[in-house]
Amino acid sequence: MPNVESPGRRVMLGNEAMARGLLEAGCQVLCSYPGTPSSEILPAFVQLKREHDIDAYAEWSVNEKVAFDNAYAAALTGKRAACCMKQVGLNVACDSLMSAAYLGCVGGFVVISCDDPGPHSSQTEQDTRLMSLFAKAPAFDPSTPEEAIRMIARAFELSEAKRLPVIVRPAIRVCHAKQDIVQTRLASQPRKADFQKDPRRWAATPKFRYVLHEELNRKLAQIVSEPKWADGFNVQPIPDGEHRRAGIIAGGVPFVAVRDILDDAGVGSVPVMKVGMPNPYPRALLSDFCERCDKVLVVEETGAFLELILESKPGVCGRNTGHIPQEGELVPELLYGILSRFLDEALGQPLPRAMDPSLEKLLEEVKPAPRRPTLCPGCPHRAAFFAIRRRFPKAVFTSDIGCYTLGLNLGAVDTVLDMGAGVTMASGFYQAYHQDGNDRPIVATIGDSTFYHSGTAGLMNAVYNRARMLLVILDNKITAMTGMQPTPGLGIRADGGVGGRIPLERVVRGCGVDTVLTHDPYDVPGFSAALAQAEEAVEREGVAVLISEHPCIIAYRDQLESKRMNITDACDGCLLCVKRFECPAFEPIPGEKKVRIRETLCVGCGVCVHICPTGAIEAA
Amino acid sequence: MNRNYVLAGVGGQGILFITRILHDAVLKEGHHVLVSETHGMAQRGGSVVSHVRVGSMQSPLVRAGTADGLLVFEADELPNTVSFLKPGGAAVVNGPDSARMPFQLSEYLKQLPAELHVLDASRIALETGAPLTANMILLGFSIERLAFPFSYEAVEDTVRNLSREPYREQNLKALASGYEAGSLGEKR
Ligand code: SF4
Ligand code: SF4
Repeated sequence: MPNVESPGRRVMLGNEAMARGLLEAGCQVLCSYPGTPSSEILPAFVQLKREHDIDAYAEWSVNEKVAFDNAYAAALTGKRAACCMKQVGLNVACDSLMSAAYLGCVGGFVVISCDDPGPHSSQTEQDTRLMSLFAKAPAFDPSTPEEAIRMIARAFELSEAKRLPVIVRPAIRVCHAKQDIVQTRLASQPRKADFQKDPRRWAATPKFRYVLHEELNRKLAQIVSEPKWADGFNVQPIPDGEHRRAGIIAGGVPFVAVRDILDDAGVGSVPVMKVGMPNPYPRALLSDFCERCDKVLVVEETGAFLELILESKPGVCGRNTGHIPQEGELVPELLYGILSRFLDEALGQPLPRAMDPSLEKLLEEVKPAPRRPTLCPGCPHRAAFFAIRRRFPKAVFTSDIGCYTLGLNLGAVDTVLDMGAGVTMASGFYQAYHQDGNDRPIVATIGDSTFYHSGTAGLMNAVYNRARMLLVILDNKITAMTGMQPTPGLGIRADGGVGGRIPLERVVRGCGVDTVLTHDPYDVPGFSAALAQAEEAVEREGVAVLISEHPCIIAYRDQLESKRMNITDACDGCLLCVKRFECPAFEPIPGEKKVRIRETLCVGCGVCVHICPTGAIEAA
Repeated sequence: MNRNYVLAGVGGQGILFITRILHDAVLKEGHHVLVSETHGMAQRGGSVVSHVRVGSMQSPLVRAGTADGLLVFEADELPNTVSFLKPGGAAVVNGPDSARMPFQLSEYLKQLPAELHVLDASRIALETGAPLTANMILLGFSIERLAFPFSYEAVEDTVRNLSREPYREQNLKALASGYEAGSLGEKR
């Protein structure tokens, strides 16, 4: 946590600011499953409540739906509760969200779903605002960390006033932005849990759901008619009776980006309408703004939410009219060009040229290929993938979401769909091939955290339906990809306390798998033998599981027994270590048919000794 | 006063730590600060970029062509980030020497025009037996070169506050040696 530097102000990460916002608003329960860009919210919440001795509960849940349901239950007892996740995590909780909007809540219930325009580390660029429209849950769209704090407070008030779940969707540039923020006091909430039974609501049967749907629609209509909810967040800047040739509508991060560019370029007089509370959408305000402008550009991320709503309005342009690309982050330089073209079209006045064309050409020439992400030197997954690939050269490799997705560089990952799909797609591939009488070896990989998140249902299904597949659970004892959160296998809780430990092997056996082997992938010959043993079990039993157990070397660096590695004259420069094993610590020596080891990168795991065909690598 | 800086390098070079020192030092001098960081793939040796904005702006990203200064911890990352520099800006780069740069890059900097300062901070750090302090040396070196809106003393203070115990003295020493190399003998 940053130090308090000047009295009352402190630089905070957006996610830390939101944790603070939750505690300022009196949130008593927070549940989450880690996912970039949301992962730092819960740890910051834990840290703050400890620093200020606040009685609040926080947990890493096993997945997002579980996080949602846990927090939701707390909100039904009258407490203020929240869950947080990344945008694709909300898909996992979507079933609950849809229903919770109908049932409503008692205490305040806020869902923070962090979007990833770009996408920087996500499977899809989906827009949580559209999810909020789908679920009929009101949404706030902060532009800055500081605004996120205020929106969280408003969201709790709204949620309690209307007894509705409310969504706050910060984008990655809010989550991972840092801003100096005025610190206010935090205080414990004394509210006691008090669940009032009302099965007609909390366990409503379909007939009553219809009534609840009607009620929800009424609540939404009310919210729009009460401007106080969006006060300061939805702003129509053109005064009554005035008219403009060009106007811009924006929300969230694009709003401040547009403002900065226009102010910078000295055209601050072009009106920009801010939509910080996009749902229920401010129909009247939007119409009013559009009527006061001849041409309107809608700038939003990631979807075309506002544009969808404004579709039939003449003079409105944006993504659907080709003025803005349909995908990707609206980074400032891209936005600059977009705004310039729009202002040229509407006013005949483009922004000043950003760069001299001859310089632009020079830049094109120096641009290197982007660095592709690789597994860390010494990563246990690399050793496991190498052995898997060698044992099953012809298999279909299904995999999952985590660091180990990068096993695709080693040719041992063919598919990545969503959390848990490493297992479910493997059985799907089996059934598809089996139908044709043409069985292929199928090897699935999944991480420990992901397996707890959503592996079990697929595994049970595979056993039940007699699939034939080998599942390798890459157990590195941590959720590495999102910044080292503990897993149920460790039995360490979000606040560092001791939790119930759930050994992987027992879960796997509970799913109906008989052959469950565990081996350390650093022991390459032993691990390969375990793979062979597992292969036989697949023949016999259908589904077998091999747990590849070795701690992430970044999280547990101190546990590594480091060896100094040497390359002997036997090296013939075949480059297997560079290309197939893909260890970043190896590099070809320019002009020689040999490789060398970059000492600053090598962690001395010694796995490479077993992979070099000429035996040229040895521990010194 | 508005200033924009971009820091670039690869995972493991302590760029996020330097970013933190910068924003705390900025805050200490009483300015508003906005930062945007890369998280996620950072540990896996990928590119790490952070944007530091000082002043009245509201959006966290620096626009290409508007950075006052560029602080590059790994010479290979300069081509990736050079487009952020504004005419009249300056770049400080950790690398063996400027002669090895691609021709187009030097040409680009000359035409912009922008200043380039190259310092082999990694080698200096290695020679002093503290290889992990290259980032501190580079930071010290850049304080005057990049016209940061704070004093050397403010940075020194911040480094002292933020460094963990066994590394504190090492960090301060590295910072001072970098500063000496960078201040052209005018001060200290
Ligand atoms: S962070 Fe850990 S699990 Fe992820 S690539 Fe690095 S060593 Fe492997
Ligand atoms: S060290 Fe071994 S694997 Fe690597 S290039 Fe030389 S001979 Fe090939």
